[in-house]
Amino acid sequence: MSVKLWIDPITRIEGHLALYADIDASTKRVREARTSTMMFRGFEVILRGKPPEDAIQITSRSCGVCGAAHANASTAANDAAAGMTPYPMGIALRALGYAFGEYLYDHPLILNLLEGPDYSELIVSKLTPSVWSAARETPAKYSNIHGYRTIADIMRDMNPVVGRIWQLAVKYQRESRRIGSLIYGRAPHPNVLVPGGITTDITNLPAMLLELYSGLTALTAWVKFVWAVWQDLYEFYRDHVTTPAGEPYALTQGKTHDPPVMHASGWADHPEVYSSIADEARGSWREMYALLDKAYNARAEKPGLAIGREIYSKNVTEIQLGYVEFVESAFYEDWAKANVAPPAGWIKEDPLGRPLVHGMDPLYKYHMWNRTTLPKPGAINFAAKYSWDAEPRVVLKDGRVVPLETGPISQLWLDTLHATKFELAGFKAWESDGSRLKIYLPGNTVAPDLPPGTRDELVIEWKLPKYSTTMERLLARAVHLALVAAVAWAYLLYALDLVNKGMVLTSRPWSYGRWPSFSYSFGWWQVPRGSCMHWLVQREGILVNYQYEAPTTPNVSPRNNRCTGEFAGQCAGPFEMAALNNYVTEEIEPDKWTGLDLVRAIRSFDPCIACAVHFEARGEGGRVYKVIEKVIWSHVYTP
Amino acid sequence: MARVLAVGLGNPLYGDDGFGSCLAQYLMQFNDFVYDGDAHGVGLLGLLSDYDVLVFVDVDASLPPGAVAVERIEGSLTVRETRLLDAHRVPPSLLVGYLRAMGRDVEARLVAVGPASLELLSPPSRQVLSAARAVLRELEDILAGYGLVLRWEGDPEAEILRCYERALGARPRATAPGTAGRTSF
Repeated sequence: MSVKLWIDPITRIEGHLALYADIDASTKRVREARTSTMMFRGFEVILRGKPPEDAIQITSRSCGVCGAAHANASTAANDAAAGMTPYPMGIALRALGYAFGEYLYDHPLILNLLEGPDYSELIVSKLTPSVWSAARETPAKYSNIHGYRTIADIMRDMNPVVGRIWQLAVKYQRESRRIGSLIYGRAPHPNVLVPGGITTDITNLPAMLLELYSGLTALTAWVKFVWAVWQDLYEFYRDHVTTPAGEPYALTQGKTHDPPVMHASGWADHPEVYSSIADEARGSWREMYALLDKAYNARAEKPGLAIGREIYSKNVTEIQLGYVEFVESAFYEDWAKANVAPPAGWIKEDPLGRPLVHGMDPLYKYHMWNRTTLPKPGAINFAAKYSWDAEPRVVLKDGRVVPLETGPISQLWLDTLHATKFELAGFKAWESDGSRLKIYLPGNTVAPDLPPGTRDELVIEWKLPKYSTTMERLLARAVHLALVAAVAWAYLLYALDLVNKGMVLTSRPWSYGRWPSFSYSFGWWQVPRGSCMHWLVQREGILVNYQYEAPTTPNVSPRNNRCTGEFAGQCAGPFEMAALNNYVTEEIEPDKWTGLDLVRAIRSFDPCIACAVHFEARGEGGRVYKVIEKVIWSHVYTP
Repeated sequence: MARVLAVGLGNPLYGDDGFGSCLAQYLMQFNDFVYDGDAHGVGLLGLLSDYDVLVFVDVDASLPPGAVAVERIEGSLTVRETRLLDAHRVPPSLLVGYLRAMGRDVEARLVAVGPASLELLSPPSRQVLSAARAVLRELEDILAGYGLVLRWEGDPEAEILRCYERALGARPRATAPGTAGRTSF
């Protein structure tokens, strides 16, 4: 017997996503899975004809949660197209703004408010009672930090609304945004990012940095707490929970490609390296383009594309040469087949004269600089078109075509494979050796409502996993949260050093409308959901083409037949792969299955609180009601 | 002393739904105890948990268009399971329910107006606009009970229309009864 699940919408994620799955009721194995995004945004259509710097503000509005993500990717693209970067203090403020204004609030929110309910007592005890029994008997390993005695104690406090972890997440996400707003001016859409600079008011910079210092102290304690909770949950699902096939839950459920194809952008530019490339380029955007790989590789986290444990390339200008988007299963007209060139004509080479998509014709027309968004709405047909999400793929130098995955796990993956370290102002934030990553969090971090164990110094070690699975992605998000806090310390100490040296200039002089007669660029920035990637083409200060990929675009890609080699049989985005590689673990009759394992797999990538449908806490026995005290009619308008 | 916050809720992109938000934007110029909660929904919980007394301004679709009511929010929630909800469209009663489930002992009232149209991109209705002064009087009375003086000056209706203008990017005219729901820019 097969059970067909059609989950529409999937709740607790950003945007509108539907999932179809066909499950074998006897083996509980998923046989087929498709995801469909039924939401057209069309920002690219709006952006043509606008000034490039407006894209920072406009693309920010793509999302009410991660607005700063698009704003920063767009700022990077603007910097590159203008041939300008900020001075070191401006770069440090950009990094700190992003750490507080997005990562430090968003990761805990995703983990504890959106994904947490799937691992809460309410869900676990109802749908998987045997797991709940095991949780009650399994002692927690990191009690010295989070203070919980058993795994069940953690799960109980994960209960939405009433749970302590849920409530602490509500409190600390707000605190992080408050501090981020000191730099960004507001949340969620920063209004201070401009090409070559940042317009934060630094009249009282030392006081602002001290406020950041005190905020980061408490938030670091919180980060330790969150990491310890999720490390315990991960180890519990690895060591004590198995799938119907007898395999460890954490190591197999929700597995994506084999081998995984991991893409990361890195974020937080190095204050000195990024500032110096504008000097070296002497005002030429093309000269500066040639220095972008150096700048991206100096970031606090490292860029690249890896297939399994092999790095294909660390250089973003090289990876982007082969970055294409197809629309075979998506509701768009194929612009290349329809021969619709962008207004600047087909671009065949990058600014350094290297052929796009390695000179392959017609594949270069699918490169993002050449894309034209032509919506073609239709009904869902799994044999043809079934999603508003396009199909990003990377064409490698040897002609292979691969799908790709991105997220906190891909960023940690690349950081680890780079086998390097990051430090600023004498503070080492992290180091890696190709298979392990160590993160250093300072001590004396006090938060009155957290256990005393969150005060001590903490070194977190993350081992490069073999696959991306549901629980590996969740753990990676918690580990990445810790890494971001360490990076924030490095930048904060560096900024204080700059104040001591009197080096507080932030921005290179730039005036509205000052652009090269023609330039094109890209800007990538790693965000809580993965790589945020923007491509910009401008002429005389007007955008002739602007295309961008949200991190979810490659992750939620529908299927097509473009992939080659070992990926020919797995030519779908990670969402579909993760849904497919699943067993149902619900301990109830098949006709009552809720699809818990499937939505856990999807949510582990990037759920978000702002734009979509979410949970409602339903009171059983409780009720909220309104008592009308009085009604006033006398003023009511009559025509 | 009780910590009191008056919170306007709503989204001006959805016609009369934006009334509470727009009124709060106007009052925030003169009163530091008024906050525009916009359509932030559950995102407001962190802020609201700092207060003992909440006075919401919002539309209540169970009221006839333009009628103003003062409602007390009673009861509490205990959470047993989860189901679907749009995180942006959280009515004041549910926000208060969540706060009480979180262990916050909050006293809550709602000054509500009956909407005429909640359609996307429709301007505010004449019925709801003409209720603005009655809402202000009720707010004044309630807040005075906590020793607070609600200050405002100018023409509230004009200020609310300006708020819609900012949101909709054009100068809206209030719709007359019977034509509610049609955009008239």
